[in-house]
Amino acid sequence: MTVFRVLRYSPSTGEAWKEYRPELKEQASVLDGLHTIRADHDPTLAYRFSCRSAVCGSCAMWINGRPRLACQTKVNQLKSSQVVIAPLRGLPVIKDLVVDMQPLWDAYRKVMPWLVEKPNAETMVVTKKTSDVMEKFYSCILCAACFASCPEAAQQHRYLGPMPLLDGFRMYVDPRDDAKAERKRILGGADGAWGCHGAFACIDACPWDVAPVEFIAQLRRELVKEKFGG
Amino acid sequence: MFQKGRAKARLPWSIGTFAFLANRIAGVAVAVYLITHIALLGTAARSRSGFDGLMQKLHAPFWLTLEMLLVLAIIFHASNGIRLILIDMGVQPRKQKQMFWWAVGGTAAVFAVAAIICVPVIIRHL
Repeated sequence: MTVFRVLRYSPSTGEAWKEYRPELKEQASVLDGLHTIRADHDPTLAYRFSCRSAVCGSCAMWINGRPRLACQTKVNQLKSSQVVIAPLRGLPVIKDLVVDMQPLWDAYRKVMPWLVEKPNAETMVVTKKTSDVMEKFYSCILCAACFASCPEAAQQHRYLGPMPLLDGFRMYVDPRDDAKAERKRILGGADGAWGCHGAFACIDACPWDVAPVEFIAQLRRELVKEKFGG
Repeated sequence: MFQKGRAKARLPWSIGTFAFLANRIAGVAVAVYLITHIALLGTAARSRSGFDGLMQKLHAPFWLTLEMLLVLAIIFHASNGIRLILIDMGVQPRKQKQMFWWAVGGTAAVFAVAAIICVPVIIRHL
């Protein structure tokens, strides 16, 4: 039987590891395990989930040493007798596996993740080439796994982080957008694209294989091209 | 911007994270060496005897061994730096792990040549 070792926390009792032995079916996911724990062992266990289909990003947590989606991670695929679960790193913990996502949303808001439309935006054509670049971003489910694994985001709290930069880039290259100068100021600063120091942990962390650093590198090239008139 | 959560940043130990740390350590080591080197040469340049005396001291095996480690740090920092430049230029970012091992291989090869030259010198000064 697989042991679930969960890092519990509450403001009143503090932090402690607790072990559970939920009875699971063969193809059970880690999320199924958490549901079983809450139903049969401990109803006080707090965690987020929603779609159960790896599209909402709610159940991102630290599972066996790296950030993963609990709904997408099958217990038998971990190939371990122990499933060690902790909340995402780098974000304040509210209770158990529930983290305060507000700091991440604050960083996200800084990159202006909305279109500031040009007057003729409705009639503009987005070429397939540009659309192909932007489309890769749409796989991002905003789960914060990349952010939680980034050593730069962990130590340099002003750094915007992989996910906000990813969306910032998507907006930057959109030809219908009219806020390019403002975006260049935000994304081109030391806390923006140049804050990435190339640890590439986000590539492994992303459950949808988006590889934020690919876009950060592309963003840097765009910023340099703009600067030197290329 | 971000409060430090209770869940401290015990980050996943991946090749990329290791390369990032090793590059940072090598870079700091080279920077510290550079400053020390300039300061020492500056003080030694005041007289020929001062310079000769300093060079004699720095030929002790301890300092020569440190020089070899410095060469290792420079070669690794340069190799990993080339890896980072290539990735920044869009060359296979998803293959960053393989590129790291290429950088390590290149470092080992160049360091081997440096060792073949330097180790006999260290032994001679023992």
